[in-house]
Amino acid sequence: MKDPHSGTVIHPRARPFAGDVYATELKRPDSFRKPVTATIDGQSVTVEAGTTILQAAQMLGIYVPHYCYHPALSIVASCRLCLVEVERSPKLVPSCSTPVGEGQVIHTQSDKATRAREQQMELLLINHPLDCPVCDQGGHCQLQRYSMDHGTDDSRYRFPKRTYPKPNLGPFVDLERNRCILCTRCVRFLEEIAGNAELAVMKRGNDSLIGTFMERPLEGEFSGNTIDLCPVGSLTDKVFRFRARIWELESTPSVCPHCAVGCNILLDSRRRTHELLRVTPRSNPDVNGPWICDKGRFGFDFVNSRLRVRSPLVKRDGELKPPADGTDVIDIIVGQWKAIRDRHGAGALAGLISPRKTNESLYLFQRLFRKVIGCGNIDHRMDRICLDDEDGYLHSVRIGALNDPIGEVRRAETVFLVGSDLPNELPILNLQVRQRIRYGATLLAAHDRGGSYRDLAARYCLYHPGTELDFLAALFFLLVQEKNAGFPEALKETYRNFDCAAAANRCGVGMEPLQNLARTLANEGNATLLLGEEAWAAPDGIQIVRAFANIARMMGLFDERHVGINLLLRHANSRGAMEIGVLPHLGPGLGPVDPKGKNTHRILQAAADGEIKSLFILGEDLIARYPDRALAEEALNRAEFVVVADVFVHETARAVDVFLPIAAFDEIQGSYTNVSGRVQRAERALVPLSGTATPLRLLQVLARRFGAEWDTLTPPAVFDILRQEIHAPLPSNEIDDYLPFDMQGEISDAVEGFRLQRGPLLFDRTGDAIRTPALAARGRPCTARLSPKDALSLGLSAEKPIFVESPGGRVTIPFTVDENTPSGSVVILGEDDELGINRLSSRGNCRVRILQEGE
Amino acid sequence: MPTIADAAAEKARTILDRLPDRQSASIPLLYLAWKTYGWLSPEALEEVAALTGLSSATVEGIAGFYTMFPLRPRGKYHIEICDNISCYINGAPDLRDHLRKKLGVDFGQTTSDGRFTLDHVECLGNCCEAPCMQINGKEYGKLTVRKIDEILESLD
Amino acid sequence: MAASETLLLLKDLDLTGPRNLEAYRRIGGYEGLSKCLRGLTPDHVIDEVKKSGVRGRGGAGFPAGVKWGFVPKTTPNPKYLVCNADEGEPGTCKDRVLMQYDPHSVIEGCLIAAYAIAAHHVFIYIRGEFWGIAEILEHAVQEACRANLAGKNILGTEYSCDVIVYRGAGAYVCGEESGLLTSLEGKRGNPRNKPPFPAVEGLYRAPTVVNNVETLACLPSIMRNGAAWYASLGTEKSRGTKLVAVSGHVQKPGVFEIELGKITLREIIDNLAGGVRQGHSIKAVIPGGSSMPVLLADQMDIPFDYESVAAAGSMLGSGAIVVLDDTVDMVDFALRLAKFYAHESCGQCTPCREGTKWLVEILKAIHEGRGHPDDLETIQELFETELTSICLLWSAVVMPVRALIEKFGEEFRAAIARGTPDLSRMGQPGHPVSVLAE
Repeated sequence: MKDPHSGTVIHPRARPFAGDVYATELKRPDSFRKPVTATIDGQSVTVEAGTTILQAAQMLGIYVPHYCYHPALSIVASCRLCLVEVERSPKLVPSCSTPVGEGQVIHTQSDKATRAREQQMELLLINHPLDCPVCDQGGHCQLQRYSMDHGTDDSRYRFPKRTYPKPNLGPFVDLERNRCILCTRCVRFLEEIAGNAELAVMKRGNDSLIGTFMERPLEGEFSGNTIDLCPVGSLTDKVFRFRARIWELESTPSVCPHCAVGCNILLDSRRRTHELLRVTPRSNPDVNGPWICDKGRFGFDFVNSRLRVRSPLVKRDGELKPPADGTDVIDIIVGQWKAIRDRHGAGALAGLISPRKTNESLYLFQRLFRKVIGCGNIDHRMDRICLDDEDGYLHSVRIGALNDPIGEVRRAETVFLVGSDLPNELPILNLQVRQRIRYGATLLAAHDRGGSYRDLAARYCLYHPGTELDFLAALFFLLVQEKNAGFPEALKETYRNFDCAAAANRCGVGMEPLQNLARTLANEGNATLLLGEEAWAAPDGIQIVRAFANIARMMGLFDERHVGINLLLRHANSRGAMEIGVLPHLGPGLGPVDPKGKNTHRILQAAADGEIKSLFILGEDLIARYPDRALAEEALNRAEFVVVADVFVHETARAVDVFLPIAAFDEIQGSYTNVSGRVQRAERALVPLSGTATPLRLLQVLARRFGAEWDTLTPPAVFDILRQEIHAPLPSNEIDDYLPFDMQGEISDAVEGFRLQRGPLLFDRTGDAIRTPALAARGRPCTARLSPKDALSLGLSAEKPIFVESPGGRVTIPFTVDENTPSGSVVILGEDDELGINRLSSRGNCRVRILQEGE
Repeated sequence: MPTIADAAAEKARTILDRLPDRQSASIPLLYLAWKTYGWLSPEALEEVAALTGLSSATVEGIAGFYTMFPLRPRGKYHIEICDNISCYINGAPDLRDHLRKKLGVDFGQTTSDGRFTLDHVECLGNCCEAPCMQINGKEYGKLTVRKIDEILESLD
Repeated sequence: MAASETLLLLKDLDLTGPRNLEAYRRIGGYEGLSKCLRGLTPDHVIDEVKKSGVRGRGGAGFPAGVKWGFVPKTTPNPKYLVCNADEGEPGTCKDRVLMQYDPHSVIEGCLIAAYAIAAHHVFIYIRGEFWGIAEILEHAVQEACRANLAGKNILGTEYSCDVIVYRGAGAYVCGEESGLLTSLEGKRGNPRNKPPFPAVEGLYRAPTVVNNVETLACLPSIMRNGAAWYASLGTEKSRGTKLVAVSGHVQKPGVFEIELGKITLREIIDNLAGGVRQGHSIKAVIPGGSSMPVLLADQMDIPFDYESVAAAGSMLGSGAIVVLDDTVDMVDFALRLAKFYAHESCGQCTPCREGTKWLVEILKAIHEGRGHPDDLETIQELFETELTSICLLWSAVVMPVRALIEKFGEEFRAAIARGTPDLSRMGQPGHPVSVLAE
């Protein structure tokens, strides 16, 4: 049931004394399993022993007012608001921390209890400033609420109220200390759940205050959740500050567009001014719980930007301008497409759509191209280079991968994570991994660069970039030994000339750490295996997936339908894009298609060669995103007719022939499929900004103008249609056994220069983040990381930026020394649209030179 | 400024090894940091945080709870004069005034030459010697104005 | 020295320095421990201590043996014995005498108690301000370890017990047993809600017994001479002897050992502590530390034991007797008390954190001539929240201030009548100044 005031979901299985993990391993006595019966306000209730009075009351629908208690946090029983009367007990007891006793008779509304509540309220208000007129919490403030319900209507405190200086905690969270009632929910959340303990109670007694270390800004990516937790207006949403009163807002359920977790959110908008003003979590125990990350919470303001385009633009006199009066841009587009198709064939067209679009839009997109235009050159993979059509993820589906990271992590006792910097990719999933660790789970991690998991993981293996296959092959080999199992027949050929020690050395991990890892895995019967995109999207990604699946199988993690590996995806609808078949070689439900087409890379090559004449890019800044920037630029320059449909005129859109403005995510109704395959519906908070169209409408208009006989369909109607075409893909015969794989991985003999390693960064300076002031303020300038050894041997001076050079270009960038960076590598995380770091990886290049001024 | 790692690594290790739980080491390590750095500067707090695996904010919160820990630099001599009940009724208020005037600073302040920090302190547990004070942890009891002057005189 | 000649705690104390191990053993030291380890089961020891009737000497007065009995016998978790050497209750300076001059009596007592509850770790939590005394204790612990009287396989038996001296750093609330345990865990010393009690869930949430220094120091002689001997001292409900620290307006302040119930409060003050200051009369006496309600001059003839002091409307507490003579302004004194507790409040719970501040503000106003006629009623209503706090610190200021207002009400009313309240300051935000800044 839900707390009517805070909206938190109360889980049915109450936890006794939730929270702190202590040094000694404690075993709870078996008596905690017995049922206990008591009477609360005249009603009888039977609960599991250890359930607190407050929780038992909630089960009866009786709400006991409280501040410091929260079902997800440890219990402190310090606000004293929840005191209730228990017959034959000399004192009132705090109901949030007192377990129900057999036969107790409890009164939550007796004179004593209500008087105590009134007194606590009076005490809280002696120092609390009367800020209601200027406080954002007004209207959803628990102090206001309880004052109305339980307090007095007058104050007799005539002395100075204690005040504090106001700190600046960063662009996201505003702290108004004078209002704080020291419930410590924020402190406990950041310590117990976010895991960074950035806030602490400072000083003592009535001088106590909440603060960060030396008043520094908050760095953690979950800081915004403290805003939801704060019962008063002490911690408030800085982005939302002073923009509206909450009663002006309408809340619309939606799904976060920023990553593949698909956190459930509420969009708070004000129709009158057509603004999206606030994003808050919508509790969903199967996805995000009651939390969202700061990117999701504060990363929406771009939809309100004045830079949003409100009319189509065409290239006239070398510039993008609104079309001349009377011009129908749809006619222009369709006209050009038809002309190109007639002259050069349907294969001279191509379409790319962002994996952040809804299932409905993705479906109509592929249908438009395949069925209406007759062109098979479509893809959604614009932020990585796929030389082949098939990638590791698609292959994993074929071999029956479970692919339910969220569900699996939630019950994990061991998590084995390979090839992912989870905190920067899927923050809420990272949060859940941390939570499992807090409750005793073990994390084992392997990556080609050090990261935040280095300290948290029980075992951390650093393998050389590109050696995932050696690592996994050796791991499997040792795992078989550890389990004393016979070597699988199916793999005898694969491993015929396998030299484990050599593989261990090649990948840089070494035999002993691999043996230790194998030993740990061998003993963990119940493990969750996660494989990141950096591994499965590598050139030998398919082999990596197969090797990984073998490990799962050897660990016993399989049944008739699935082998227990879970691949991670990045974008809000990456999975939807895959399953709906926005791919050159597979269609809806990953079934066969006709005509087949080219993948993104080949499309761009063909465009650069002049073979493809027209490109349609929906929702992505290809030039900023595509690793082979030079190729993308060439393709766009060479193509005769380029249409971009997006929210802003970005780098890619600058030199196009037609630009179509589309609606932003809060103006779109549709469904998204998250990384675990959960299809979730998002409603729209606002109508599309005038002058823009939703992608769905746009695609339908284009199709009809092209000649298709499509009815006008709403998103739910499209969903019904697409659902019929998507069947669960039938796994191939390969599911039943170990998977032979090809061990000849890429062996790079390049020795000159440094390896360039790229990866995601949660708060970087690209795309919508630049146009969202709060994210722009939070985003750090991209920084290159070098190992201490390399920085020393290069003789670099820390104050000056470095030049990182490749045949694709040069980037001037500040650098830091980081001991987690492997020697011989330069790691640059995140993207910066101004710097255009992807120019370094043009032409598939992955080695760079490093220089500094004065050389 | 030397760090614990430079100057007292052995002692820190002993503390961490002896106690059953890592966080328990925070208070003894804060003492060690105090001795090593001279006061609990931000760097000192960060080092204790690193040694205990706690966040710096948590360590700052722990240090700030306990009044003995110096979160600001102190003078060479830290004078703490008690004015709790037994000392209070045995003339402590007058002695406090005397110290204020003599040193020319108020409570919580340090003399401009950096020699004396004057602090108010609650019951020192030495009530039979009231009125009392401590200077750098050394106890003085049965104080009078003259005795205080003599004591301050005797300090170098 | 005492009214009765029986001394056990302060017997043969050499006030030039701490009694070293050799000297301690010469007077029978560690024989009690030896008896336990060599012939008695832990349950035996608990029984003996129960029979002796010794009650917690820190202030609560709870029978020590009974407390030990709450420790679960079958639990896979380690158990801890903690010696509360925080001695922060204003007026109290008796534990320091034991630690300073007879540290081994404390250590032996700790080990006996640890053995009784099957603990293998003793923590002596000593207040940080006792710099020199902590060193003496640490030195004595090392002496004991070297002589195989502490540490591994004590006296060649299977029983091992480590003794660790852990220093506090200036917080009265860490003298409260659960605040102490939280501090020992290396955190802010916030007391905990009880239940669960420390004997069931204490240090690191394992079963823990917290005993006062003096309580533990009684144990060696109890075990050596037998419970019956100890129980023969004192009264039926208040057995044994007690250290009392007499200070304030007395001519010879000091720490004395008395037989409970066999001497009156007046006798302690007049015969042991030289009586009230020359030319003054007793106005009020605090019988057991600043948290206890005062007794008036006409209550001095009560026998000094737990029951009699309770019957007189106060509590024996730590046995810290503070004599206030006719020069003491009770409004000023109440304010001084309130400031102490406001300074020491941990700040966790609403009633204490806010209530102590409000109380200081009101008393300050009354004292400075800004009192309002409603103030005393406000205070009484504020005091109704006495039992709503997490620990008894809030109670520890409510009790004495309530008693002062009750017994010396005219002083308060006169001070209010003299003043004019500053109503223009109704809840205005103030400058960032602590109520405690001096």
